[in-house]
Order: sequence, then C-alpha cells, then structure tokens
Amino acid sequence: MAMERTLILVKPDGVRRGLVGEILSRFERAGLEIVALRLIQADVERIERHYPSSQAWLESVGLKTKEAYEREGLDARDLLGTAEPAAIGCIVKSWLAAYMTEGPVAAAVLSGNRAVEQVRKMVGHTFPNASAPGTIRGDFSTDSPEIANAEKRSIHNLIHASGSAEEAADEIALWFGGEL
Amino acid sequence: MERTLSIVKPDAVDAGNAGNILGMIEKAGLRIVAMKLVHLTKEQASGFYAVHKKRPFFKSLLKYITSGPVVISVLEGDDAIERYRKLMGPTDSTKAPKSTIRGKYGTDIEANACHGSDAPETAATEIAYFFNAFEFVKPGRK
Repeated sequence: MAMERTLILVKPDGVRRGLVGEILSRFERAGLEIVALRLIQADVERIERHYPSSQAWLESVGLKTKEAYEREGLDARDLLGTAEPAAIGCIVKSWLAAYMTEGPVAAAVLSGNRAVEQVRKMVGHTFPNASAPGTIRGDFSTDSPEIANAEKRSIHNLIHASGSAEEAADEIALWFGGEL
Repeated sequence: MERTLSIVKPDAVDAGNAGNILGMIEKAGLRIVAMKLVHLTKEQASGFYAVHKKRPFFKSLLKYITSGPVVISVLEGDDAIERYRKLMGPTDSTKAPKSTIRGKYGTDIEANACHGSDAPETAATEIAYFFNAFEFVKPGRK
C-alpha cells in the first residue's frame, strides 16, 4: 500500500448545488477515508496562495486560454485587452479568485492507497464537457471553455483535487494549517 | 428561519456514510452553514452530554461518541429543528423507517448514526458549544 493524503475542495458551485454529500460519498465508497473536513468561506488572499503565481504558470495558463479563444474564432485582445500570455494568465487567475470566493467551499483531506491519483481519476477532466460519465465532473456538469471564456469567467467544474503528492502537502498546509 | 446542530456520529463516519448522510441533509433542502470533522475528547463529550451525566448509559455513551471522528455541522432553514428530527427518524434505529437517516444507517438506540438538537434553546446551546462566529459561512444555497 502506498498510503497518501490528498486535498479536495468542493467549489462554490458544488456547495451551492448541494453536492457536498454526493461527492464525499463517492470517495468513501471507493475506500478513501476523510481525515479532515471543514466548510470555509475563502478570501482572495487564500485563493491567490492556493493557485501558483510563477511566471511560467501564468504564461502557460494564458497561452492555453489564448489558444482556446482562437479555436472559437475570438480575439483575446478584443475581449481581454491583451494578447500577452502572462497578462492573460493574470486575468485568468483573477477569474479563479472571483469564482472560488463567490460562496463557501468544503475542504477535505482524503487518505488512502495512492489517494492523489485515485481522486484525480474520480474527479475527471478539468473541463466538464470533456469528462467521462461516471466521473464527478462528467456526471454533474456540462460546462466548457468556450462558454466560460465568452462569459469571461472560470470553468465551473465543481471540485479541485491536488495534482501531485507535493501539491497535496502544500495545499493541506494552506487549508488545514496546524490541524493535521 | 432556524438553526440546528447535527452530528454524524462515529459509527456512521467509520462505515463511510458521512457523505450519504450529508447528501440526505442537502437533498432535504437544509443548508449547511458551518461544518467540521472532529475527534471529540472525553472532556468535550462530557460537556456536550452534561444533561445525561447521571443516566446509567452515560459511560457507554461517552465511550461510543469518542470512539472515532464525527462530522459536526449547523443546519439552517425554515423549521430546521423539526425537519431534521423527522429526517433522522426515532432515536432507536431499529424502530426507524427506511426512509430516515437512522433507518438507513443506524444500528440500534446508541449507535444511531446522527444527533440533532431537540428544541430552539438546546440548539442555541449546542451550536455555541462547538462553533464560534468565525466558523459560519453565508449559505451556499438559496
């Protein structure tokens, strides 16, 4: 057994839609243990720390968004006032902060065999429209990047899950501090 | 508008039914406005169950409620206390209808999956026992 811990956040759209219990029950059913749980109204500062802000991350996120706009025949410069990947990355991060603070989130730490990978599989693809049925995002959302980008907002994808064991350690410290 | 205190007890958390029970609460339209997972100490549990101190079942109750983590939450809604009591079902799980939390996830009169406040005064006391003002959120649902 490779026992691991991972962090999930049921995002404000998931809490608002009454999906906290549904989402937690899926992880419990898979044999993962809930070792911490808290309902939290996050502030912008916490969300800024939750997501990376390195130049490389901002550029990568900005470039992906710019390309998504181009695929839809939209001009990032017209819509966002800039075509610079890093600047678009900053705008995307501000959308994330708005989304993640629009209502409470349910933060939980899950423990189990290869928990990080297991939870990511159950959560599904970042874009709900690309998520397989049976995953949390695939079963409860059809949101997609072209709608979100046109509305100048983050994709509403219900849940966050740590991407690696290192990320999990940082995120657990951020959301639960000395509690664990 | 009313608030009530809910505890998903150790038997239900241990059996992996915390999500199922929270799901029943959300589906019933009760809004969760504060929530945390806690492993109660003997002292915390004795304080909470102080009214039962002289009852014969007190020692067993303490042992059970401190046997593992619990999910404590504050539920809000019109008539929340009575609605949650109906959703939980009778204290004795063996007498609880299958449509209730205890009917589905309880075992007997002690291991009965959940606690809910029984009146506005006890709700206020119980909520203040476990939560401070900073732990409440604005309801996520209309």
